[in-house]
Amino acid sequence: MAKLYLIRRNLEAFTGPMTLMELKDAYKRMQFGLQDEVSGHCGPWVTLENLERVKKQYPDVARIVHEDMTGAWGVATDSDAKLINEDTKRVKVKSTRGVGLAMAFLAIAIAAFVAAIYMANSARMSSKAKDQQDHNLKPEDVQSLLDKGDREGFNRLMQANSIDIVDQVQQQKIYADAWLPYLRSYVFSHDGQLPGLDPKILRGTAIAPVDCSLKMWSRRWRSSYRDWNEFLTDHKLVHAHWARMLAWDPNWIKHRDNKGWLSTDNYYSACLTMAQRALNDLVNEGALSLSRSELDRMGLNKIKSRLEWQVASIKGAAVPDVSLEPSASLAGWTCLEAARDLSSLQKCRAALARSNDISNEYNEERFGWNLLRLAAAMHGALPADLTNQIAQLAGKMNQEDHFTRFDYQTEARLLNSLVTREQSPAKAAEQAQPELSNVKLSH
Amino acid sequence: MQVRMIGATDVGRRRKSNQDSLYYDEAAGFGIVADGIGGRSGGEVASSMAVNGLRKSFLNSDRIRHEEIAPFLSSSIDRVNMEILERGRRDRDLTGMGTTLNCLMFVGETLHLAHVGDSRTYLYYKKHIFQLTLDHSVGNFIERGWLPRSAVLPGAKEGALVRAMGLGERVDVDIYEVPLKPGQIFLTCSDGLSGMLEDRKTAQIITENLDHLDSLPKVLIDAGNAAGGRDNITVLLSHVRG
Repeated sequence: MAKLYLIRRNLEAFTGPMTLMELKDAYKRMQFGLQDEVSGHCGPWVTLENLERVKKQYPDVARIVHEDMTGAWGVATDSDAKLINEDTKRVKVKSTRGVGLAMAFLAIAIAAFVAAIYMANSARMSSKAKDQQDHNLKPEDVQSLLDKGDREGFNRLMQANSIDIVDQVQQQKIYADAWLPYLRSYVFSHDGQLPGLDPKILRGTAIAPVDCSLKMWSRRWRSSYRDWNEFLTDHKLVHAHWARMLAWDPNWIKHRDNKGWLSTDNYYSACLTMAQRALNDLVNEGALSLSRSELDRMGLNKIKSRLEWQVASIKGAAVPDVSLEPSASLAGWTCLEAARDLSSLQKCRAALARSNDISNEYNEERFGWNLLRLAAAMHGALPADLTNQIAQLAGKMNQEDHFTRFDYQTEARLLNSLVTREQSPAKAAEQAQPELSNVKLSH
Repeated sequence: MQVRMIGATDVGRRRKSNQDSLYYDEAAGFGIVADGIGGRSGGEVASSMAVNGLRKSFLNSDRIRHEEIAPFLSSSIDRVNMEILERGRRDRDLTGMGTTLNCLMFVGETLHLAHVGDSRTYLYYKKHIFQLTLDHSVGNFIERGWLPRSAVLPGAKEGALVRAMGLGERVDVDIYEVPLKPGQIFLTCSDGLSGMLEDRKTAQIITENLDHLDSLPKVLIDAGNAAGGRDNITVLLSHVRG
């Protein structure tokens, strides 16, 4: 009997059990991605991103998911690199043993010196933080600092009391509701993680990766930059968190409420900001082992522009100018999302890439939601030609974006209401709005 | 999909009382396994409150739509969690009681599974077995980086629970959706079974007893007891038919 495997997605849903061939097919059809976990009969769950562990536990799966899919792009795994360099290294070590030992001692001495400075600084920080420790700290206290515009004071106070606050948040719901907006704001103004705090609590109900810390994004970019071409040039919907994130629709995000967050913040913008910072850090530090010009050729600027647009658009900040490269999906999506009238939207649609069926269908869906967005903002009854256009698209639209997994059920109700009841967009939006919904369709 | 449900619970060979609780309603496609924690009678009370509270919520609810199931499970578990805490605060003998929970709702072609603690749900399919739920234990949380090693008290066991109902006012529940296929068997059990039998052995017993599913819970419990029976054992089997 063929071996079966099960995929666990986002610790929430499953695909399978399935044979290796079915798994390969499901992977191609983007039913799961590298961020998800695989398990075999009686075996442990292993994240597909963790190539070494997948190879060890499920070598057949490793071959399909990693080598078959990424091999064409020449992705070198750590073990591959070691094998290739083995002989050269051995020769170097033999001929330079004395120098090597001296260098090692020097490195240890430098490390000890740096550690001593670091510890001295930490001690100073700790004593500063200790001064601010307050076991009776209340959310009102930190809010008053924010009201005064004292962000630095807010951060210091949160840092000094974070252990207590995390304990409270994880133990008592009443404290969680009160503290979470401040805790999230503090955590994502730093590196997006806090020891002892389950990242699921930070994420809440957002349809996004569980871990959006700086460290995790750094890991994601390091392991993925060689796949950018596939996504940016070949227009394939690469099923990985970084690609899905770049597809996030800022208009969809803006229409969801941000309960549990301060002001206009939400998990999506926090996650995008962490991804943006991690990418900038890696590029500035030269940690991606390619020159800046090579990275630019691979599409670094396209990704950076897209992230910049998404963050600014969600926050309602001044958004960068949108220029459209006819063959670029990312710029095309930005163009659709930024369009303020029907004629601009049609131009974006026409300019979008038509390199393969998958992205064409997907781009049409994205065009449809943006058409609906513009229609919903119109006053009075919709022109007949626009209603017809929406009606034609209605049959092709899914209620869930299969790539980002964003749920468009409320928008779909609005669409249906507009098409079937021939009423004004405002009234249709009101009727489509479900009770107790976290979605706000009205503009 | 039709689902056949069969369950049984047993005190085991070492314990004096059974702190596990079990409820299932085959016609409604609803089942719960809870394993109480807390000395004396606390665990028994907590697991029974969890099962009865959720059962009542389910019976009192109107027809639940697919998208409403996760919110329904979360809010019901939140409410029952508060009831367990309140009871523990009122009665000093019950202070600190808690319980694990696995709650199964079969709706259409999907199983909705709510999970807190270290009771488990496995999926058996064509001689393969997969553990669906992630144990909320110190060991697992450290491995996933959700809990720093420094935050764990010296001497704390890897298997100690990080999450359970009754431990605090906030209870984080994992809610999974599993697509159903004919032939699947979901095995939900307390750690009295999973702690005694290797997964491979469990799969083998299921394979050998596929023609006698009605007696399978008893067969698994007997095997757990034969392997030591150190804890109470509860087994709920849900067999998906065409």
